[in-house]
Amino acid sequence: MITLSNVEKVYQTRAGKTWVLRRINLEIQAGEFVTIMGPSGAGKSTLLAILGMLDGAWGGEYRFLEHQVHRLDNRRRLALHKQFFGFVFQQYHLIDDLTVAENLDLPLSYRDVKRSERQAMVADTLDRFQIVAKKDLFPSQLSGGQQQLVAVARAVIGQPQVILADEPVGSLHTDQGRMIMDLLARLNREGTTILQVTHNPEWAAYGSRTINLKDGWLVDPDVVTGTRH
Amino acid sequence: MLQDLRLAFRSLSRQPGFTALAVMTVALGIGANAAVFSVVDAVLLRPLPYPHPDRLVALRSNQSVPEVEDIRAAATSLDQVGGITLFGLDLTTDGEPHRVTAGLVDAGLFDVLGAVPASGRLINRDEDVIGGPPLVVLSHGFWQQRLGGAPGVVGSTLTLSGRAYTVVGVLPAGFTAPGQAPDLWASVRVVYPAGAIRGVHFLRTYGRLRDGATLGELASEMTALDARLAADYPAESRNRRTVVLPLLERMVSRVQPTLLTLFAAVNLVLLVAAANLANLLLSRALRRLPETRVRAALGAGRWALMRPLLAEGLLVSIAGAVAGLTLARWSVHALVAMAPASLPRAETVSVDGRVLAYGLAVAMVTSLVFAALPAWTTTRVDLAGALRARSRGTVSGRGRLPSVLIAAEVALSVVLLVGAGLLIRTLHQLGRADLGFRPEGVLTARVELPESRYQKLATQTAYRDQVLAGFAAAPGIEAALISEPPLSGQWLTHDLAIEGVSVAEGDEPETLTRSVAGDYLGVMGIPLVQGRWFTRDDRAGGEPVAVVNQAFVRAYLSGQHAAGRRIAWARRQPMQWMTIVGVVGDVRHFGPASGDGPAVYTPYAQAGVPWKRWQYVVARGGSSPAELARTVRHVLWSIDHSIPLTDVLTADQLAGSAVAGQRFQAALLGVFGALAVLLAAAGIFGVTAQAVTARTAEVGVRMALGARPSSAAVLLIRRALTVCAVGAGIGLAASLAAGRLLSSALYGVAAWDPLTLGIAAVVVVAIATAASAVPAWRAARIDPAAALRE
Repeated sequence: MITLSNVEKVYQTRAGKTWVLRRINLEIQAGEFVTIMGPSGAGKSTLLAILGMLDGAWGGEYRFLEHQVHRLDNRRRLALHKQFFGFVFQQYHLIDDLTVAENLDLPLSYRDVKRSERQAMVADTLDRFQIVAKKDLFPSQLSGGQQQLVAVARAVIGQPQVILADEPVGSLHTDQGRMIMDLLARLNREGTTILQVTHNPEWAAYGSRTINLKDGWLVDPDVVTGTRH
Repeated sequence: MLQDLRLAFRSLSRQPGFTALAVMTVALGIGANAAVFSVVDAVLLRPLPYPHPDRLVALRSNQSVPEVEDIRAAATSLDQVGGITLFGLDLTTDGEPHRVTAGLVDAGLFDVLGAVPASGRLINRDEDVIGGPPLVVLSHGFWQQRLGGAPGVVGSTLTLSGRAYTVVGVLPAGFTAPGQAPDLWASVRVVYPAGAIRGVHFLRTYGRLRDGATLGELASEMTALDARLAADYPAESRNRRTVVLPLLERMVSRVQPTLLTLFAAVNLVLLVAAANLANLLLSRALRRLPETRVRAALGAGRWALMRPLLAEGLLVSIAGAVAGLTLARWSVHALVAMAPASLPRAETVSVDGRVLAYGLAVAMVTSLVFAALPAWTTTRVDLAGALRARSRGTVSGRGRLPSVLIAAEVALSVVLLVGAGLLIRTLHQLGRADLGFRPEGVLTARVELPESRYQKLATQTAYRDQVLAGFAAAPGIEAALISEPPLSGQWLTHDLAIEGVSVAEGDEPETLTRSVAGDYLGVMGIPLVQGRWFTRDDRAGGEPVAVVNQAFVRAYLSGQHAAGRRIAWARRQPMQWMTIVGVVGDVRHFGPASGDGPAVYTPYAQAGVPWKRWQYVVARGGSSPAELARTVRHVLWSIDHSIPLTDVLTADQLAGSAVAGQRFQAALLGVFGALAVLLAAAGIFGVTAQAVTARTAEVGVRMALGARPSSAAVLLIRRALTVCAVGAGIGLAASLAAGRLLSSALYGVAAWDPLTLGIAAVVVVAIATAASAVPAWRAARIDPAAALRE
């Protein structure tokens, strides 16, 4: 599904070039649950941004399904992002001024889905995530776990093939974190490919494979750890 | 978009402080703009309230009654022509005299203006002849206010200046002559037959172009007619050159530069408000940058990212426009009250549908453009940033846009302050200008003797003698005179013949003349330079005498000794020579900014102009103006209680009215300048406060490294002042260019007056310092430990 060949990311500063990612070669199959680990500054979030097609300024080759991403212009790359990817952020990043239902509606509205269809999809998702009672509440009226639950619901409502989760439970206490990770695992079992960034070995273990990054280099890319839950 | 508006409303209502500030900013800009536009629209833009106003023309200069007839006969490009002059008549009801303003017309004027009576009929051309029946047509306002809207008024009789006039009709509400609103209308030939002679050019003359005819054709016809009349009547019509103008242009051309200058100025205020709004929206958009990144990460395109910001801008603009237009409705009355009396069509100024539509349109366009600026800037997001933003409150600066906007606000404020300053300096200089007389302690009142009882010169002279004797005996009156005082707006000119100077007939110099009785020099404080003033011996039947001013001696006598030289009115037959017996100092008769033109003073008793029954009684006294006015009334009414007094004013008030235009302009520019500075100060405050928020961590680090608390404040104030200094510099340069627009309104001060430029710059920089000091002081109080924890 995803193939990276010699992907590199570099920032030009006054002090010279700063390498963020170096010669990354990586293959991810559809249906995998991949964990990206590494110390701060290793390039995890940058790799996630490149994989999610939010970042277009890098070198090397990136193939996604039948698309040669490295040859696409910005507009077509973002169109792929919109069609295939959903994001879950560490800080939830729900829109404060929108209700739960409106937050769920947001990615659909950006995909030009008809209003009647959107309403049905939002209702389904609220039901599926058991948050119907919360649909008219604002994010500030929810607990951290509930906010991240809504954030995951928002990531999947567009039925993406890949979910990119950047420390999805980094701001939650253990019980809430486990609930979210169980949810991601369930989505993975239902066929969604998941790539998560985490520092926590417990959450990393939810993945079928772990990729370690250090100073922009992929460390021992063939190592596979952990078990499926 | 409806959804965006709904969400924008919710978002704004959750930020009442920001929303109130943004709405107030738009309201001030739109309110001032709409108020001035309502004046510009009513005065300059709206068609005149007559049928086919595009075909109406005005002839410059005034024509005599016979000349109007000549034009009617000769100008084939005109359908109709007519003229009007205003004339005071005394209406006596229940024994009380009231002054009414009559429009004495050539009846063709009714056809020119397309007048249709609301009831009764108009005066027709057959009745508009010398010796014709005494008829009047009433204005609607006069009928309602003076006669209580009496239903049977048509056919009734009014006694005006001792003569009975039959009311034949009432005009509809709002119908007036161009720029003049008489109480009633009558035939000039019937009311004032003595004036219906060729040499008295006193009719403001208007025409209606024939369908398809052009101004150029009419101008050619008038040129040919002027040439023919000059040949036929050289004494009366030589060197006359009639200029043809569209009526609207003729009416508004004097005030047009002032109004356009004010409109330009109020648009600068709007720009300052818009720049401020852009800064407010920018700071809000920057605070929402993390949210914008998230939206982008969720798939929002550029337009989708901009829409919420534009929707907020739109809502703010609508709310601001509503508040601003309400403000305009309140302020427009004050604006019209402040306007000089010479402002034409002032009575039609109102905040109506056109102004509302204009205000809403300007608000929406301005707000959307200036909301688009921050929306465009802040939606060029780094998508990957959504993954990196760890703190929800993270705000980064967005380039130089806030500073550019502040510099622009400061520059525009400086331009407005310089404009206001120049006009205030002009007013000051006008106030200091030597008028040639002393206005302090002088009271004037206009008196017009009714023709029925004061037709002959002897009765007029007797009345004037009684008045002067009454004042001589009245307590508190130091000196009194009867004449037309300087600045009263009343004057007569005569073509002058000077003994020993040969001039072709019709080329005689036209000179200001004043008929006087009493102690003119004593009351007005005018110096006698040479010879003597008039004495009681200078009476009818005595040797005719005249006094001239120094400008007269310079202009016509080559500065030579004047006493003993003889002059005469060129048109009088037989020629009556007057001996110059004295020379007095020059007086600025038409206002402090006018020049000292030649003037001739003659005694009323010798003037031989019994038709000139109007005059001002002028008294000097040490008491208050109110006390002086009571004494003047008592003296005049003890002699003839049926003569009304009008225009009871102090000479200071007369001097004030002479500069009313400049005062109006200065006051409005001052208000606009203050508004602009206020808005700019709010903008500087906001941007500095934003910088404090954005740099809290930096300030914390600096303090942790040993910086003094005050150094953080100094740093922020210095940054604000640098931006303001750049803006002030640009503003001063722009002021030099803009000063040229004002130069015609300036007096005694140059458009590049360094004092004004300096004061404007200092005021703006001082206010900028104060506006930045408040949030900067907050920076100095930052707890470094808390700042580093954030």
